[in-house]
Amino acid sequence: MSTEATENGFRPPDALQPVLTGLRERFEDAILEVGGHRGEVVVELDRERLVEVCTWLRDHPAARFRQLASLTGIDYLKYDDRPERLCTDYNLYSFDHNIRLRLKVRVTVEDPHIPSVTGVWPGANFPEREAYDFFGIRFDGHPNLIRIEMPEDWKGYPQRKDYPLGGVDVEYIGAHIPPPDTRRYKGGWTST
Amino acid sequence: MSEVETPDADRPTSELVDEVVVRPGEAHDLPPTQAAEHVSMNERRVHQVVAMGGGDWAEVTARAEAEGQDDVMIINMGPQHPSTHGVLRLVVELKGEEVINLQPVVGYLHTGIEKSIEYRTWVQGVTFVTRMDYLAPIFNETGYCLAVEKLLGIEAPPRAQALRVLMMELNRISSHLVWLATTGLELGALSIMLYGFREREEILDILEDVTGLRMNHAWVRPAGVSQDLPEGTEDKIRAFVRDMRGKADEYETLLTNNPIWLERTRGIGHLSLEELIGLGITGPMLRAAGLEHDLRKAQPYCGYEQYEFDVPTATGSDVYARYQVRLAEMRESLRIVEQVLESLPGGPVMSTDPKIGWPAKLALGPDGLGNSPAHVQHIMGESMEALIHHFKQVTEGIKVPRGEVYVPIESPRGELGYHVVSDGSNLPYRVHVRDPSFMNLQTGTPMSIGLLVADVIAAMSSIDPVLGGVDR
Amino acid sequence: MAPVLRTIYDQMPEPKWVISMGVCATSGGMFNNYAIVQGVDQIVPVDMYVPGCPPRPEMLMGGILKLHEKIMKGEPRSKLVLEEAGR
Repeated sequence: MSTEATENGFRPPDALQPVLTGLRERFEDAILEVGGHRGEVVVELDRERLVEVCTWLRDHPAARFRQLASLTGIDYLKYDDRPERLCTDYNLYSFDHNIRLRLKVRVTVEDPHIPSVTGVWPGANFPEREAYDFFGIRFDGHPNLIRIEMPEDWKGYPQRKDYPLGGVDVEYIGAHIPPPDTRRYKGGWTST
Repeated sequence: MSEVETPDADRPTSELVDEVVVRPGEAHDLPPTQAAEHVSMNERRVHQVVAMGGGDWAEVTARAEAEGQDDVMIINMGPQHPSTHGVLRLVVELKGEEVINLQPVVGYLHTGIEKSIEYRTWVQGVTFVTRMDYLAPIFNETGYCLAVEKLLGIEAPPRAQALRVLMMELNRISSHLVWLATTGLELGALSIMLYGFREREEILDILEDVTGLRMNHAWVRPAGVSQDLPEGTEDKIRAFVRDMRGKADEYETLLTNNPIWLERTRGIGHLSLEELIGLGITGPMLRAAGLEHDLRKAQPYCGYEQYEFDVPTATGSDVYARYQVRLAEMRESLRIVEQVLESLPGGPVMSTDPKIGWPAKLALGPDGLGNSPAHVQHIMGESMEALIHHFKQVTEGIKVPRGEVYVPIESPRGELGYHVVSDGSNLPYRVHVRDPSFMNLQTGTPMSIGLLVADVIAAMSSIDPVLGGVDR
Repeated sequence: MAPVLRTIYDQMPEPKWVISMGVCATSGGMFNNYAIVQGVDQIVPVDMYVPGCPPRPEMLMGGILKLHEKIMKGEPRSKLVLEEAGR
């Protein structure tokens, strides 16, 4: 997880201090890491107590994260070397305190099960389906976990890093355009 | 969707499949003279009506039969339908004319943008991202560029930020005009359709003057915008603002107290505030329920804190309230546009740091928009270093430090958020877009249960979904 | 969307013509990945291609007028339609 600290170590914004203190008191064993980048705070959680933590975050008066702003699936295959490649990133927003918090849960490809938070925020329905569709993360307890963007009988999880782009060669009269993943962009022209 | 599904005998089909094959010599219930022509033109034509959508159709019909509800009609308002705001498919279960369940099926416009961006440089990502929510392309670009700038740890020059605000507000007005036009059309107010698109043409003309294109501009780039306002644009915008105020009054006169409009929109699609917050809804739908939440005020970006504007709310939380909120938002946007024009700062429109800012100074020449002759002379004749910078910037692009950020902005439909992950190279690692229409579509089901079919159309159009954003 | 498009094309009565509007429909456009068929003429026979991203209104109108002329002159239909008709 990216925890680029600021110069003197990581200092979360003041409004989030009570939330982080409360989390550390109650869920000490579930929190794996707290970090952040450019003013944002990210808490990496263990998946067992995810629903408990989210319920506490939604209901506790110092937190009141009533809106699940975003649920993102990320595949960290080429980013770092941890075996837990697949990650779900929850972005929470609190209307009352105007603060944002991010939660991360990481799982491996062999055991990609994460408890669903649709019981806490019903708006997680579509985004969890999307994360399942594109990354293969199974959300236990989701009411209707089927593919949302790809056709229902599609095989494979397209946005994983080991899934090919699927581009085809395109022939024009007098020109030939190769698919984008074979073009030499990465690293620039000075690299091979 | 790159596999073309050919019909074959092994595919499971539901009872709704009809297969008609016209063979040479067989006149399939056509009058004799026409039959001969028909057959000769279509000798091997196979007409087949196939149930679309794969598994869920069969499931839905099976479930309805199992529950013994034989007076339930399952209608597929398929992806090809004039009133679905794009290729949205609604599977509606009806008892008579009342809806008992509605399931939106999306994915017909999925273009794989998020994955494609991982194979392009950061600036090329703008061209992809701008094509998601096609009615508000400047918002897409700005959100992406703000996220990239946050990762880079820089801010665009003040003139660029003011220009971004100007274009964003004009785009907000044009997006709401399209909403008004299509909603009016679907509810039967046909003249609103023409008026909405007529005003939108004015805005598209202004956008074309500034960016070169009517839509999908790729104008906002990381660390600034690519081109400044040309001569005469400010006067054009001022004239438009004057006109638009009068036109907004006209639309209000036409619709706000219109008894037919009130009948069709009052009380339709009601959702309580708790439901909306739980579903993660943002934008005019949330403001129509009474919660005054606008990211431009709560977490300002691009200098929005300098401008004075109100956040309109309504309390009905039905289609009529959402109409009121959107109309009021158009007026507030006009106020912001005026204020921006008053206080437009001078200075560059793109960061002058040679490692970050886009190198080419664009200018309008006889053959269109391209590199300005002064810039070409500088890099070719005067400075080797500038030439190298230009080359590396255009081919390799900027290198963004490692990290992840999430940047939300207020688009006409709600909170448009960008979760950008960078691994330190010149290609993005992962760009995920939190699209407001995607989240807002989840309200389709709770809103529509108990409504009549015609009201479902009104309710779905009050969500203002743009399928390019939903499917990306 | 490809099977849906083919179904709609098959459901339309003759005479019918297809305009491929925009560069994504003509040739896949800027997208070349698992989700996009490179050109709608792999699914349905196309009579007029209108490029652009997006096409200007004038381009679309020009395309429709050219199609009118093509039909008036009785020019042969596109190759795919002829193949389908077995000629």
